[in-house]
Amino acid sequence: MSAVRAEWTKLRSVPRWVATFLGALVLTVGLSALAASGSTTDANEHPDFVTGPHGDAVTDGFGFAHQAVTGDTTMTVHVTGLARAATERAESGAPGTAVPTTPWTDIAAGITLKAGTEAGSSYVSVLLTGSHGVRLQGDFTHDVAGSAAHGDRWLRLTRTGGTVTGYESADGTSWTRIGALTPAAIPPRAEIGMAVSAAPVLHVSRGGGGSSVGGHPGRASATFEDVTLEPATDGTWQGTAVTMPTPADQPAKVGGSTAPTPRVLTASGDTSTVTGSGKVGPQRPDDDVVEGALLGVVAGLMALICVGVLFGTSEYRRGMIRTTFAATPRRGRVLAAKALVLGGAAFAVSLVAVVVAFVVAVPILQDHGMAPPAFPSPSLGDPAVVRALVLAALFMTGVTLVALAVGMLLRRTAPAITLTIVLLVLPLVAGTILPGTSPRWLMYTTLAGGLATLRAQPPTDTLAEPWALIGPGAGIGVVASYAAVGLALAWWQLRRRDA
Amino acid sequence: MTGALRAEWTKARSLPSTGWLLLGLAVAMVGIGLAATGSLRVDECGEGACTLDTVKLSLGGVRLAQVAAAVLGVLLVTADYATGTIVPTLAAVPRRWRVVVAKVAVVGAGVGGAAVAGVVGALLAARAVLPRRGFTAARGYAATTVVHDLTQRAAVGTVLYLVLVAVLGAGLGLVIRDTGVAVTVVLALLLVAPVLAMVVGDPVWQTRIHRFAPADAGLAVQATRGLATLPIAPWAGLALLAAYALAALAAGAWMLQARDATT
Repeated sequence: MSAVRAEWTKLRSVPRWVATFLGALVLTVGLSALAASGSTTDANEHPDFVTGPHGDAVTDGFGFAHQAVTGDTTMTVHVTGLARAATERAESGAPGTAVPTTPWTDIAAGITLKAGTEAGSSYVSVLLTGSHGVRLQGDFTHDVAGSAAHGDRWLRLTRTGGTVTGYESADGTSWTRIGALTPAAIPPRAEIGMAVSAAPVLHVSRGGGGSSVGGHPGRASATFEDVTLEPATDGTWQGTAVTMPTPADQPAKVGGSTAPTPRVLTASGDTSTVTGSGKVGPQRPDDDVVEGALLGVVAGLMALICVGVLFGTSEYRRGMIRTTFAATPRRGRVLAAKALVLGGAAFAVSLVAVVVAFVVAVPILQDHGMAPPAFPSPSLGDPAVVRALVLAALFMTGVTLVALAVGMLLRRTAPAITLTIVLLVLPLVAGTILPGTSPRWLMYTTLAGGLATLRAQPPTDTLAEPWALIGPGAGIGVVASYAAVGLALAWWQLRRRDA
Repeated sequence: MTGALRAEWTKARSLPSTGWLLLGLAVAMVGIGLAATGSLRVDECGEGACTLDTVKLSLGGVRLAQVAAAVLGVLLVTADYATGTIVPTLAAVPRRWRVVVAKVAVVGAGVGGAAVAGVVGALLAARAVLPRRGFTAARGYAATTVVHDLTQRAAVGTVLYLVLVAVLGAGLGLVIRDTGVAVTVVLALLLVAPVLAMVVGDPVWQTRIHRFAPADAGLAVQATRGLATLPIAPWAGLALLAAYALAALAAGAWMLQARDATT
């Protein structure tokens, strides 16, 4: 305990260090605000989305063989042969690497109950996907995973009052319930039918200092057998391609081949083949408002690294370490006290810094166009925002502790600061130069990966910043490992080496 | 003046870190250059004309090499303050500006020599590696050679860039005097701006950062393709970095002149 008090006295009695802590706060907030005022987007003026039932940006396009039903109803189908149609590349963009699909961007075939055939209307679907198994999805936000089956599956959708339940079966006799959803706005008289969607195939080309995303429209078809509707209706299946509205200010492609859209529905006997193109799901930009509001962390870290290293090396420079060890002969306890005091101070300063940066920078970003509906509006209460802020503060604390460990290990200021800063920043610069997704391993192995904690959105391959390639858990894990290994090495060396 | 030069040379030589930093500078140039060119694939750039700047990529090691140059520049100044050698130094050379000139000459010579070795090594490595990755004359990539005047400009510019970064470090060292703070400040100046440029969305601001940040402006000299779209002309960018370095050095020299050496 006295060791902790001694270290605390050392930390607070050096005016330069206290000033540097304040500097870290000012740098984090100031640079965040500056970077925020340097960001603009016109995503809301030139929308590539429609507004979904919850008022958020969505995309909605698929092939729909449907008929109108009123009230409670149950539809059953047997889906086979879901496959991507051989489409020609619409644009010869850079090939790059294909962006992996998610449950929202995979090819899918199944039953959809939808308020109408206009894009963006409320719906519930039970779908067999290409590689994400069976899903129950609704209103562009809800996604319930079923079994991991693929290729051949029986699907059933039942509407009872306001609730829609999805079932699946391997043989059409024994059924498994997937889940139930309550759609926002499906009127009693709605459209039900067979749906096939295929999200655009994206290719991302990274490296040489930037990233570019190209893609071509997807198209898929599937065969539906043993289609039954209860109660039976006297209607017939009608094929409609649900499509996104063409932006008014975007002229139709000149000179491009206006290939006739393939028929949505081809029926022969009891078998129907449905062809569809487009994605049904949320349309969120990969750019992250929370990350954009916290960029000053990079600058704040410079000041924290400086304090962290000096808190370790100054003991050696001034010979203080001999007094310290005379007072607390258990050297491990000294290191623990140092880490505790420095870590606590760094966490407190970092948490205040990121919260203030968030509060200051988010309104600036929203003024510059990163506002709803194209971008979600983050608030301090969102779990994703709380996670990002706490992890960002822990990330800053972790880097400060790494700096302390490096300082204790090297015992000299200049190499310790250089090494820590290089481990943190250089992989970022290298990450924009290296091609493809190869920067990912750099993020998994260096302190730079910790910047993934700033993101509230899931990881993505499509952004220039390399830390977006990994998730926040991996990011904080890398930094925590560095801090743990660094402090362990420092402890081991402290015990066996002469002070 | 010769005496001052020789004194600084001896001090630089006897610092254990000098040799390691210079070696690290050259190794970083060659090693990262190899990693960058070795990981390229010509089919990554599509069917159209390939616009990858292979010369710039093969000299990409400068991003790490500049760290060694900057730290060396700082250390050769601040070590004098940390160890107290500044007092006998100024006693022996009372004209303080001569100390500054001697320090800059020694830093420049050391970093310049290591940079030449590193740049030549990186270009030779690229010449050996690139054809094997598909960057052949048929795809519009002649073998890397210094006879080509744009490559020559990039090579000479990179050496000058590293020397100027070291001078910037020395200047900041004279102003700040504390090793830790000076190293942090110079590395933050050089490394944070490119990260910001990467994430700032507005192209106007991106251009501003590329045009006025010391590292980004100075490295415009490495470009051999897309010259029409550079945010700042190659030599103008290097001149801007020189202006930053000289400003820091002038401030440092003035502070050495005006301020007591031991406070």
